[in-house]
Amino acid sequence: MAYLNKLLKDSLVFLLFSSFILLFLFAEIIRKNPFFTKIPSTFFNVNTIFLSIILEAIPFILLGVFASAIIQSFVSENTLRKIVPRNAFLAVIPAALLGIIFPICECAIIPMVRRLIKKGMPSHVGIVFMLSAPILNPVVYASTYFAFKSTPYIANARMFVGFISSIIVGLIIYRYFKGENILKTTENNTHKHHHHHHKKRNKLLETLYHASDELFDTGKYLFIGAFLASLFQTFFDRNALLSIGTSTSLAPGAMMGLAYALSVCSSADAFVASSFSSTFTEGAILAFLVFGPMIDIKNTLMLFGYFKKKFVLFLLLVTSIVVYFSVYIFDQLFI
Amino acid sequence: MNRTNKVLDLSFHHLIRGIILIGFMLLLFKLLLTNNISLLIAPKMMSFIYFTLLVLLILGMLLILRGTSNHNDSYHCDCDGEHSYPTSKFKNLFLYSLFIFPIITGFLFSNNVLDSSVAMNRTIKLGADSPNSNQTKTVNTNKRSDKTNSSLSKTNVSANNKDAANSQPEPLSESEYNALKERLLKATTINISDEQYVPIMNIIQENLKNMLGKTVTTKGFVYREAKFAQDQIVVARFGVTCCVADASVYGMMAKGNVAALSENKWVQVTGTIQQTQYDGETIPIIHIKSISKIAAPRQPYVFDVGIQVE
Repeated sequence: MAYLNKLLKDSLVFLLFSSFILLFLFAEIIRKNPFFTKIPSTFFNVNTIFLSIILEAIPFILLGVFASAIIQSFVSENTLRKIVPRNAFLAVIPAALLGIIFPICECAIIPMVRRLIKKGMPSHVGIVFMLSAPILNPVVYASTYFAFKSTPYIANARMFVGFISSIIVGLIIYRYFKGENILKTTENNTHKHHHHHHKKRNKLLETLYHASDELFDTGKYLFIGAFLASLFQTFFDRNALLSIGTSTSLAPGAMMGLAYALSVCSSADAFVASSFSSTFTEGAILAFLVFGPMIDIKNTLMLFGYFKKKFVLFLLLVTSIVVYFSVYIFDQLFI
Repeated sequence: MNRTNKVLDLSFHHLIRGIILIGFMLLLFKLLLTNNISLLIAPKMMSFIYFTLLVLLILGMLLILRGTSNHNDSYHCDCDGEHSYPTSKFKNLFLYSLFIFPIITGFLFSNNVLDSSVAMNRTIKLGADSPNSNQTKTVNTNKRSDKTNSSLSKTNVSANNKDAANSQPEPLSESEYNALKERLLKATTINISDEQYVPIMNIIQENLKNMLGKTVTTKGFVYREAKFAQDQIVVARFGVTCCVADASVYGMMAKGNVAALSENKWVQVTGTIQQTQYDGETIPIIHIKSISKIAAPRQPYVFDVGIQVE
């Protein structure tokens, strides 16, 4: 029975491999099959957008996974404890500015922050880093500056509001989840001491194994998220939003919803936002620019993969409320 | 018995995963060979794709070796069992088809180009954001928010100079952008090239008053908004920043004998720049002198290389 099982699995693997080779060599010929002309063109558009999101995100997920593996191997709990300021309130400020030194996008940062929190970084500090790094970084600043060339203060405002709201979210998290474990745990967790007799292992090999496991763990959420985002990108008519563009209370909310669903990478979303700049209020544009990098469909799914469900829901709720009101207050004061 | 089964199961997972990674690697390789990759992401991201290709190859080979070698239990990662392998057959099937299906569609349909049905659902920027009415306001708030963030923006900008060098192939510097602007303001005929499409369009839209009467030549696909008259079209392009998911529609309205042209057809238009009112905004419009159908260019998207902040 076991032998039959093995045979079946081996042939499955072989079949998969040969079909990839076949596609690699003859995709152009297979494509000519008349069957494919019956597929509606919207399918191709969804597929194209989906693939492009995946191709753009995978390098950064890989970088995030490697960074997390490096932290795992080379940063000890002790060093981390020394680096992070003891005072819970003071610690959030350097965390919010860390993105300036490490320009990390929202895909790469989740595996990293998970690792840091696991290593003993206070969770609210990790969350502040996670929310602010995709906004407060030089790459994003430059692209925002260029996309809003005729109104350059948008880029400054984005940095400022991103900074403030990530800190507020961090402090709220501190208030409600102090000392609590916010990471997902599996039942294997209790066997921690079990592995210690394997100390004599190849560290590089281990890092690579670890990275490939993590790639698949994160990858599945990325793929589902990217698929949902590409459906939304293809079928949702953005012009439907234009009628509420000038409402000061509705427009920021609508733009936050849009940023959430589109899941565009934070270094490029300013260009998407600028296509709305003639019809939407500046507050709404700002809400889009601040909320999108913090939370969107594809990273929500990754968050659910790594953090406890209750915590993720709390984070989603708090972040949207805080961003909405920060933008609103900023709007009243400055714009 | 139970133990061998488990080992077998795990090695099966590793094998499948390895082959999926190799499949992905092959897909990337094929996209690079056929240059269809440029229909998905911008050239400035290309170094990341090479990096991914290499990493996928290494990880894929490693997983296949791990899956085929006999002593699988030699490795335990000390990440407290946070990596889970699916337990039921159905979950297995779901997980792996999630990865396999995109590889297959990627091989088959990556030559698809976004068309006007996608453009329809996006907002299109036909004019500048009415700079005249905002001007005074802009200056005011600018000073104010500059004051609040001056320290912040300073660090950002200085950090950026280091970074801009490796991320983008050839971004215009601020001075080059201004030189281009000067050149366009003096010229009587403007040819909107693919390489500088986005900056040229921006300059025309922002300095519309000084552009009136100039002859302009542009290429693009035919696109119509719902409320267009018979003789109006937009000669449109998708402008891509990082990947086609962030593509936005650029274009200039054109007016002339175009009723017979169907959507998505590629045209080259020459005409004079005039202005018109659309949706309460002043936008440029080309009064067509000549229009010709052309074949779709090999690179249908224009890429937004951005401007270096100095």
